[in-house]
Amino acid sequence: MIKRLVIGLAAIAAASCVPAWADVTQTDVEVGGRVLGFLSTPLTGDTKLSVVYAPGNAASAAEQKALAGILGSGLKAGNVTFQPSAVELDKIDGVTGGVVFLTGGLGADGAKVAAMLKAKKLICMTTDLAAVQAGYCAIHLKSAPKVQITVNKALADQIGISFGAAFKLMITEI
Amino acid sequence: MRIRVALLSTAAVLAVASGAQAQSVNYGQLEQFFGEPVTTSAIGSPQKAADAPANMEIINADEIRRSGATNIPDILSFVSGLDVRHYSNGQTDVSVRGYDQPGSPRLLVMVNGRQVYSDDFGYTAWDSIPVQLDEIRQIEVIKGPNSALFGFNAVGGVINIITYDPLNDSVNSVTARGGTDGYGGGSAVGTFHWNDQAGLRLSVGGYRDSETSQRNQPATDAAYYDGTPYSRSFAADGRLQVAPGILATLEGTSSQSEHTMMLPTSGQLAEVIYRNNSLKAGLAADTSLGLINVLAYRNDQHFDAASPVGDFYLDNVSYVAQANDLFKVGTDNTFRIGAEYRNNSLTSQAIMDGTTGYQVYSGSAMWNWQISPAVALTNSLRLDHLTLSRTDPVQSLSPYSVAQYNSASLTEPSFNSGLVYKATDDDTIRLLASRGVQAPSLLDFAFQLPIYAGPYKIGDSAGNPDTNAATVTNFEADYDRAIPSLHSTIRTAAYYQRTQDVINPAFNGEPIYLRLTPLPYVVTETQNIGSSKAAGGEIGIKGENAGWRWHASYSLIKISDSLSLNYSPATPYPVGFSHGTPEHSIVAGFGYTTGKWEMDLDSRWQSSFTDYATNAQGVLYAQKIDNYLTGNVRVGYNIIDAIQLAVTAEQLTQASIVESAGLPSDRRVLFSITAKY
Repeated sequence: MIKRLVIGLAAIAAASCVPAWADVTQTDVEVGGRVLGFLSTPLTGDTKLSVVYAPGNAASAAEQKALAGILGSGLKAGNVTFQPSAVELDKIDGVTGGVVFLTGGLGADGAKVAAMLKAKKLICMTTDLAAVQAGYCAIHLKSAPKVQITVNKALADQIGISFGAAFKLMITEI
Repeated sequence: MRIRVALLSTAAVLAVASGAQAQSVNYGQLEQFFGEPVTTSAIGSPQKAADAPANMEIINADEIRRSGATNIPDILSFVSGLDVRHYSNGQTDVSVRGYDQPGSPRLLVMVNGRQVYSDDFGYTAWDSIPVQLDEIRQIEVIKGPNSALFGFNAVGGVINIITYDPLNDSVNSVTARGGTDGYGGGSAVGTFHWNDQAGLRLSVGGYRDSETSQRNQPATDAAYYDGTPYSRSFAADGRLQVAPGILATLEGTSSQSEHTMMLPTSGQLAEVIYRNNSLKAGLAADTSLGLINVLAYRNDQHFDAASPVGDFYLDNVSYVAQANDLFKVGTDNTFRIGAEYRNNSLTSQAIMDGTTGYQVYSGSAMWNWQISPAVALTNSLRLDHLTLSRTDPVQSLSPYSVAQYNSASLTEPSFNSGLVYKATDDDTIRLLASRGVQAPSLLDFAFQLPIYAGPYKIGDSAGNPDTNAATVTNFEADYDRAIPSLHSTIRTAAYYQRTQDVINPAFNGEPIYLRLTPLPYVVTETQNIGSSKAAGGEIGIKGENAGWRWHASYSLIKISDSLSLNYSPATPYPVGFSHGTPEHSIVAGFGYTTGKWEMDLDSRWQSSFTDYATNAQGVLYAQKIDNYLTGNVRVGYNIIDAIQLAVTAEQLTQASIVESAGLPSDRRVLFSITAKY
């Protein structure tokens, strides 16, 4: 009950506050790729990256557009090469496998993504800290001025992802 | 029996880890990911250095190369808050925040966590450390006590030399050096990998030098000068990925070095040779119970000295076994629990009449609480219990019996507490409190040297089994501020420190007093002689941008002694710290890289202080060491990416500088060529 209340409040905060995410950069995406190398079972090689966005949400759509420019037809980041595809929020049931990149500003709509992630056991990354705090996405990426990773432990546990002990000791878990 | 226990322990770790599918720790990968130095030397858990609850400086491999230095103390001489004294080519003493002396006992030095501090006199013989500069990833300098993590002798500070990981890093290089005063040396480092499952790094290196300077004392002193100091060492460091998440380590080293040495606290010059060997084995497992580390090593050091008090040797053998578990509970709490066993023995017929040793049993715990994303509190506690042992008879006029040796023990707690507040992305505040423990050295406990008047034995200079450990309590406030517009970071620190139960070794030869029972005889013995306070601070700036790099810092320390032995210039005393520490020091430098060229300048100025020494006639004298400015310049040129030529001019300011009461330091010009493959 309390957990739901917290998530609900966080969702309201996410929807009503000043955006808590910065414009996505190529460095953010590269950090995201390298994070996958610290998983207990590291990802390598070609990796499908589903960029989830809401066409009617200006911030989300703008970030999707920026990501499309950064990722092009594929981007090597760490030991993975992201193979991107844009997925509208209403069509996320069609996502299969790979990694999800959740664009910022979706607010409470992120709950739909969380349900899909749990059902399909998919890793999610975002630059929107509020989405991670609300439990809609597991991994928050921040690359400037310093690299900082925040992980929603409860969601990560539900999805079944874990990190090596040393890496886990150096990130923020919430 | 021991082998069976070890096998059972290994099996237990493997069993717990069988369910783990994690990768092993790779600090290089973490450092590359976070874009800043990573360390485990503050609390035993991997951290970004900027987040560590300790005042820490990290010197990375690029900075080591660009220093042009041929040894580690020369690199450290340009670090803020460090006191580095040249006693001879081959002997340099380093201390953190004052209290330096020949054979400084307050600084714990390690290579990858293996102690290279010598427990005989209690000091570090830098020239005998079996590591080549080309294989060092970083040198971690911790200012202030850190006994709660590392145990005894981490009181003034800690230096942990971290080498590259033979499994995950590939370091292959050959360096040849030549220079003035007959200097010649070089090193070779090679790394070999097998299917990403095993790695082995081999390194070998050394130097030979010519030292002609002599101190301003009677010529008879020259009998104990070593005019051709040298050092050579070999190391093999291997890692084996036993299973996913389980990493085994095996390391062996050997070194030999020879030079003129000013003997710790007695201040007498001696010609000394070190022969050191070590063997280390470890297992790290990333398990469901946390990150478990088991480590065991053996150090042995054979030390020969030709000195005014006669020729003598010391054989020091130590065995250390450690185990710890690092784990996270929930999202905000990290814990480390550890245990350690240490068996240390020292043998010398000439100055100990046999063998004395001790066993140390230790337990430790660390709790790191991330109170909020911006605030973290870390508390570490450790308890060390030391018991002495001796079977050989003591000197006939020793004030202590063998039974007293075997009943002596010490139990000492230590702690480190640190609150780190990251007020903004650019501002970090640290509040630190700690208590460190300096154990008496084995010679403090067990020195045995008869005192003669002509042919007659009239007493004994004796180690004291009841010597208390010296303790250092430190309180500190640090403030770091990044200034992105200047591409720089400003660091400031202010501290207050109190040392209690200062140890005065028997081999000082002072004070001499008379005992009347059972027969009248003369004694000098190891004693705890009082306390000392220090207050000081450091402020510095460091940055880089567009090929330029710069650093500048100022350090201040004021020391006040309350010792039962009163120092004065007329009656100098080796543990007169208030006179023996320079109060002010400034280090500054800059560098620039463009294309194939790199150029760096480093300089240091420090104020005067008073050192002491004993001349060949056994008379202690005070020597004022004037303030001095020194500076090094290095220019490097890459012929191709893999080959660099460099020339370094050391001590540009003066041809000869008296840095201590030992031998002067002379200007040198060095040429080097390094090939990486």
